[in-house]
Amino acid sequence: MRKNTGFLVLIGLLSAGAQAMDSRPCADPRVFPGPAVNAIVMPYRVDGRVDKPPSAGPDLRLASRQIAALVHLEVLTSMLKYGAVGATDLLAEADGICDVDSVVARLTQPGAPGALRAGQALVMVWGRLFEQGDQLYVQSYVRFFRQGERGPVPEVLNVAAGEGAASLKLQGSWPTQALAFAPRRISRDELARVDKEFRQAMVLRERPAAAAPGRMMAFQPGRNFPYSIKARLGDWLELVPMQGGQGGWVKARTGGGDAEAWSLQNWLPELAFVDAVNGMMRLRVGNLSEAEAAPMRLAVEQGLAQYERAVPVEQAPTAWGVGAVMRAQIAWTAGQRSDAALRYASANELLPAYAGARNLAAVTALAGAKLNAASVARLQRQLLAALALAPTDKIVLANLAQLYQLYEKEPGWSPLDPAELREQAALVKAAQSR
Amino acid sequence: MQMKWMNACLSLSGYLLLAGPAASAMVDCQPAQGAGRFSVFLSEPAGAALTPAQLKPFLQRLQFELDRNRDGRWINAPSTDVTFVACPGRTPSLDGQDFDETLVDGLHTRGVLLEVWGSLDAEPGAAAGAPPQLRAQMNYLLVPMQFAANLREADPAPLQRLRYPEAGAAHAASVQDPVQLIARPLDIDAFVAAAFGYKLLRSRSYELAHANLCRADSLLEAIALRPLTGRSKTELATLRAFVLASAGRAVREALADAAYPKTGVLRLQAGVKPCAGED
Repeated sequence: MRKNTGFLVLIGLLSAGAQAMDSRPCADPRVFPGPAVNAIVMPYRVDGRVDKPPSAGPDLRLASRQIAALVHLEVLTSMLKYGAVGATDLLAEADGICDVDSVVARLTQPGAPGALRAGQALVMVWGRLFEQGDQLYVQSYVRFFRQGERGPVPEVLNVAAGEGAASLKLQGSWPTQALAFAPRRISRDELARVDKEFRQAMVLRERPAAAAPGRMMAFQPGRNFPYSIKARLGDWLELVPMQGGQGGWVKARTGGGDAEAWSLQNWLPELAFVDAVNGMMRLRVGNLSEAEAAPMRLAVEQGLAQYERAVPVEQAPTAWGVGAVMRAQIAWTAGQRSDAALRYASANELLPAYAGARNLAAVTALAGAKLNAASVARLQRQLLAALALAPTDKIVLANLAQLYQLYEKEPGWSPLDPAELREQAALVKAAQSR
Repeated sequence: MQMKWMNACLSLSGYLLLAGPAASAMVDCQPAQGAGRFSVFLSEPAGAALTPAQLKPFLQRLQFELDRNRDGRWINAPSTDVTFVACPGRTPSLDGQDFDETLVDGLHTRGVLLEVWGSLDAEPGAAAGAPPQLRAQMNYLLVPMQFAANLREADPAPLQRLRYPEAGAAHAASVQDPVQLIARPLDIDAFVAAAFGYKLLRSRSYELAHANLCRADSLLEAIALRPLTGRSKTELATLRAFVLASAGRAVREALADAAYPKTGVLRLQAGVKPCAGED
């Protein structure tokens, strides 16, 4: 049983797309139909504390709710610069589990009410919380994907190598589209100060100017608070309450590599990383002019750099690896194939346990290259190495199947005799069908 | 099995009674319950960096820090699903001599893959007024490997020792938090994957064993690229060689096993290096 808490809705339609904000019960997740990217913040689960029984008291539950609500506001205000975005805060009953897989299943069921439409992207953030003394230790997770016609689709890269009959059409997919961030510390006092200063910064002003008179927005976790966005002027958004009352202008976060003094990103730098993910997914959805895309690419880089300044690689190798993949993707999309291949190789070094990273590094190294016996032999070794890490990886198996077909056309390049080749190809086919 | 467990308990009691001032205290620790669940024990470090009152909170935080993939099922992490267990009051000696056959047998039987402990010290800062620099030597006992060594099956360097921070490491001087100093997800993943893979191999789960051992090999290779020296370097190299040999053994034994499927994916790995890749 989950508590059906109230709603907090901020909906708007701009020329760049839709911007919206909502708060919903975890049992009934929905996204906005218009935005290119929807972000969902799910509960931060209490993991207990050292000097008290595992069941969280009301103060810790409140801290958990406060963190999720602030993360929600932080994510939304940061991603406003990406244009067509929406953010939803999912609420679970105290001590209840908000099952991520259930939420994903609901939101990716084609045609279901409130589900993603093909082409939309979803970024999900959630976490867990641990208390020691007056310190809170917060650990966040992120998962992100685009919706296809029949469900979520992985981010896939198509790589052409060779020419004529001696060519390969290879694929690579991002090594992971979900990760666990390194835990971070924030004191209860700091959290309260962030909350207060956030509210003070989110002031509805009479005019789009910092000096204009204004009043604080009455954010309250779990309380109905609907707004629509009427207009935009530079970084300023004009908000109009949907339930009546006086609106005003609020300044959107524009990024710039450093979080404002009151930003939760100062304590939870993974939110800068999440902002980069939001920007990356916005870029992946596409339909952007170069003038729109260029600042988004910059924002992605700034978000990643901010995270990397705060959290060293040895504490967060996966996040650094995913960051390398995103940078490589940007280079790849820009047609900078050599640079992209180097970055994918770098990602592979940071993500040594991920088959996808090894596969990406192997196939992008061949992009546009003329094939020969040595290069395909190297590809075979790398694909088998990737398969050793993940024996059921469909993309690696498909690449291997392509390679064995090439061996049939170019037997001089094959290290296998014809009988072995037939046997290996059959094994790959069997693995693909499993 | 019951007799072995009783022996383990008796042995533990003996350790408690014999513990001296600088000696170990091998109090028991409860692993994760349930079939198919595996644990990593986090025992108290020696050294002067932490007061006795700080040890328990330190272990609890370390547990939270390392348990970051607790929700791994939701993020499809390739890491092995293990439970980190804080063991306050459990202080193995730095040289690992406490881990006799009976104790290791008990750990192995109860699904403990790894035990982590070590020493934490604070050295004076380089400059006047500079904060002290934390130094750690962390020990990782790969329980299935130690179990095999006790049976004289293999010599896999089951006790791994790493020092933090490593020479020239970025942020080395700035790490003032002992948990952040030693909580290295990549290191833990490598040792857990190696221990789990070898345990699976012994139970003839060839494909899972091979995948875990190859993952361990990749992770150990990444660790080996760091500026390790002396014993740490040689022990890691020995372990990696053992892991690779075990991956090869998984392929060979699968192919020799009449029950292994004719279309089993390990047949693709026959005739190549156990985990393929570059030379």
